[in-house]
Amino acid sequence: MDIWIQQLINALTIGGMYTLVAVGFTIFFGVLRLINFAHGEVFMFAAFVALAVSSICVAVGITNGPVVIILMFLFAMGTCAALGGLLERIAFKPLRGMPPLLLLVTSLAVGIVIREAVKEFYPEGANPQAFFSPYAYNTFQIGGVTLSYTQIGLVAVSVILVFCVYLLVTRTWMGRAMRATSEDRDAALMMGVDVDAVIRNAFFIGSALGAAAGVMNGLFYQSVRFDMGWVMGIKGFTAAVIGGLGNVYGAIFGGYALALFEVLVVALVPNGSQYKDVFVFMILIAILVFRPSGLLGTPQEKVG
Amino acid sequence: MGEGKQAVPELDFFRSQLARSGGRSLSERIKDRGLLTVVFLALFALFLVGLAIESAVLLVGYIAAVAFGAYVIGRFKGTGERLQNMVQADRGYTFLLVFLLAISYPIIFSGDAYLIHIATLACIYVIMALGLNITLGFAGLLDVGFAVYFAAGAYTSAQLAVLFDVPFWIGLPLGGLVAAFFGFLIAWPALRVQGHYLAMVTLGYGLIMNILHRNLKFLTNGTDGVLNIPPPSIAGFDFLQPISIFGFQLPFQANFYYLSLALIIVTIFVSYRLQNSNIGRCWEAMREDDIAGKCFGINLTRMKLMAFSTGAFFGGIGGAVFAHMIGFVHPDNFMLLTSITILAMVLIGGMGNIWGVVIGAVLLILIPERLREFENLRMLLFGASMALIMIYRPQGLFPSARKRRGVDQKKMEQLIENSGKSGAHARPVA
Amino acid sequence: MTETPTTAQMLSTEGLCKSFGGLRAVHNLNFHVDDGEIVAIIGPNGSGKTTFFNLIMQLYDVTSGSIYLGPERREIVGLPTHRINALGISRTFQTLRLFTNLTVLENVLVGMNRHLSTNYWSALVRPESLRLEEKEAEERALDTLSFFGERLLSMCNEPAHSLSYANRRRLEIARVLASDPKLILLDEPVAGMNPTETREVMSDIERINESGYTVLLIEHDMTLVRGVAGRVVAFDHGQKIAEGSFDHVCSDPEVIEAYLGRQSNHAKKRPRTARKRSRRRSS
Repeated sequence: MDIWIQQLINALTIGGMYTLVAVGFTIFFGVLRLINFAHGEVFMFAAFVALAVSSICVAVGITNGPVVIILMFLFAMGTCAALGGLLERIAFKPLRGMPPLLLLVTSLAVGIVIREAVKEFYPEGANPQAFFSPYAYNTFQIGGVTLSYTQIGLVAVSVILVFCVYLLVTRTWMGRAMRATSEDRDAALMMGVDVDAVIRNAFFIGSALGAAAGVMNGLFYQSVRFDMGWVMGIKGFTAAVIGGLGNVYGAIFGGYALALFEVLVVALVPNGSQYKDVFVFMILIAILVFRPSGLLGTPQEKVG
Repeated sequence: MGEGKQAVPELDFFRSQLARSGGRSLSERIKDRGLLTVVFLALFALFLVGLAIESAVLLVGYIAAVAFGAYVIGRFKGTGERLQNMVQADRGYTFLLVFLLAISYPIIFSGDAYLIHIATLACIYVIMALGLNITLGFAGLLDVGFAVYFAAGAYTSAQLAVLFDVPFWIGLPLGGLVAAFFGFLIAWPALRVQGHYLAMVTLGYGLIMNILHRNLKFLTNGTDGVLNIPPPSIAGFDFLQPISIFGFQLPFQANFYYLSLALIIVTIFVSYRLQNSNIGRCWEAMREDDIAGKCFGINLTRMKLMAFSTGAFFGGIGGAVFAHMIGFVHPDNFMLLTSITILAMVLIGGMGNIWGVVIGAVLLILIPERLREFENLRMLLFGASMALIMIYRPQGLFPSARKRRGVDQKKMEQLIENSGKSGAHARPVA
Repeated sequence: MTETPTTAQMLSTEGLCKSFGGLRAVHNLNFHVDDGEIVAIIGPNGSGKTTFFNLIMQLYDVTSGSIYLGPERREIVGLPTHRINALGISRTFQTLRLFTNLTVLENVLVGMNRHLSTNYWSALVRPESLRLEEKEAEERALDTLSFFGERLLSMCNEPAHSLSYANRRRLEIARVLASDPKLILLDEPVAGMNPTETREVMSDIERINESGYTVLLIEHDMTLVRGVAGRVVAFDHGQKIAEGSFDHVCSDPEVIEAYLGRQSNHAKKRPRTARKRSRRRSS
């Protein structure tokens, strides 16, 4: 029983990260019909930015844990928002209206560039790097369950960020414009929505959220690698698909559902950890094929 | 020329030649052929020089210079089109020319086994890229999991040879067939999805299969890989022996080179025949508008299955040759990056353009190989150049020329005249 | 409730229904087209006309009911679309659906697809029979294009996207003719055309009919409907509300109401009233 609660809390932590990444995928797809595979690399990039921030902090003598962590989040999210905006401007804007394959391949190529750049230009970038995580070993017990402060903090951060996204999408003008653009870009344009600005903002927001997930990932696992972005990218994408691409609420549901599913597979299937990803990708394929609008969406008949 | 109506066989021959060449005179044809020969020799020379450059920095400069040159020449209106027309008008000759140049390659570099080896690798990728070109270029079906078929062919023929001593010549087609089966397998669910979603389904398929390559040890030996795959042999001649052709002593790599060259010719033949058949037209129609296609009797299921399996078959053929050439098969050979590389070959070459894809594949193998000096920056350059090409030349370096054999002008004029006179007749069938 | 056919029936439906979720796009439709007729379907937008075509071609799954083809009353519900075409029904599209990057000739050749081989091995080997088939197909395609005089013939090697709008509509019709069907479905053949072009299409449709094709068409242009249709059927809310000669249908009060709207305050709610309306009528 205790093990189950432990696993559930793990699922909640990982699910938070999946959700944050998935929200990025889903809003890029919404506003631009783009599956942005560079997004996973942005996630990885954020972790390295945070790593650099923590190294600098240590070097200049800032050792106060919360301060460093807040700085890490701020810098990583800021840098990655800028990076996302840059990608949109130089890589995706020229390709608007092109066939989906081109966008997909371009994003893959851009992802390779980011990954290789980190590997080459970050000092010792090719090797796994220890990540600054001051509270990973401060644990406490409730019943038989061991919890670390990091984990509690991460669950809280992800829930807060997800809630902010929710507010942003439902309560602000920008959120409405974004939803309108997802629904029908031309109509939104004609109704006076500045679609360019919406797309730009989508990249800022999506990339910043992915960046937050990257920092969380570092804090949780206490190490980062240059090639961790790809796996996270595909998981985040799967989460977005589970909830229905383009549907922000769906991404929130999908992120937690996917994490729970993974935990269940590892716990219930023999050799589960080995084949975990096989199951995840099978879910991905099955949903794309049989319920392309996601588990939350309503199936639509194709119009002839 | 040749006005006489007498039954002089030579004249008849010339006349038929004339008719085929669209009425151009013999001297014009000789001139064109000469020009074609010169152009292709010059291109081949450029290619050889590029290969001979050892220093990576120099090579990058050289490629930039050649690209700039091509750009400048392309600025003169009609140059490209003129060349294209010339090739189009004399396809047989062009093919012969390219074939002869390709044959001469190992002879030219007979002293450098490594250059022959990487050229063979390029040839193997050409076979696979042409396979993907059938699925993607002709039928418009996005397949981002092509490494699956590569792996299927490689593992099948490798394990058959290692475990059951099955000769390569049986393992090769079997590898292709098993790969075609894997194509069929994913095509079935993929029938329901299009565009992005199809791309993601095939991508997921590739990832799943790669995990299985690593974990299904009884089939693939897992991460140990399949070792000691025997080389092919013909009538006692082992492919690991040096070969002498036209009195030239060539290193053993040339055996594999010529083998894959022969397979490329088969692949091009199949591609060409399919593209120019009713099947090719149905593929194209399906790519343009699947609903209209359905309404005009195109069996989408059948067409998609055909496209997937045919493409996958050639993926498997490439895999089988690869396995026996390298002698070692490992799951790392079949990761997503392989699929992306093959995809990039087709996209950079120009979807649907057979020769463009061939060039794309050759460049994408040879250039990174020659940039080994850059070690890790290689991947960075690969990604960056791919992104740049996608952004600045989304239709590929050699966009598919939609030049089909149409109705000739004279016949058209006659028909127009007739239709004007006779007016209505709706029933088209006699 | 089927009427006894006077001549051989080309197409008939019995109790045909199609609903999208709660919306009944086509409801309990009994309909027939006789061999050699020109029948026009009229009705306001959203009255289920195009849905009806999509049901005939099986682009949508039929919710309930039957569609029969030919005098032998062959049930076609549940067949795949390409089989419907092979049985001899071809259609045009209201929003043009040409293969825009294929040449005009190739478009027509695709239209002919049901008569052509898609055998894999023969495509590779190219036996004499295939060469012959291709040659004949090309002749036939050119013959079909000549139906429109030089308008399409002179463009036959050009890609379809280079055609003018009217010529694209003509090419859609040519593609249908090329498939040599028994029944031709035309979905708003003169939409967006000027009066001169409309008159030309009218004579085209008559010529098509004279050469033995049965034509079922959807049209808003009443000049065309009056000019060519032997029988007019009016749709509203997925149901047949009137049927007969042009004058008869146009003077039908229900048709007028459907087009012009009711005077009462119901008018505002109309878009959502498919169900309400049928209930009202039955009461």
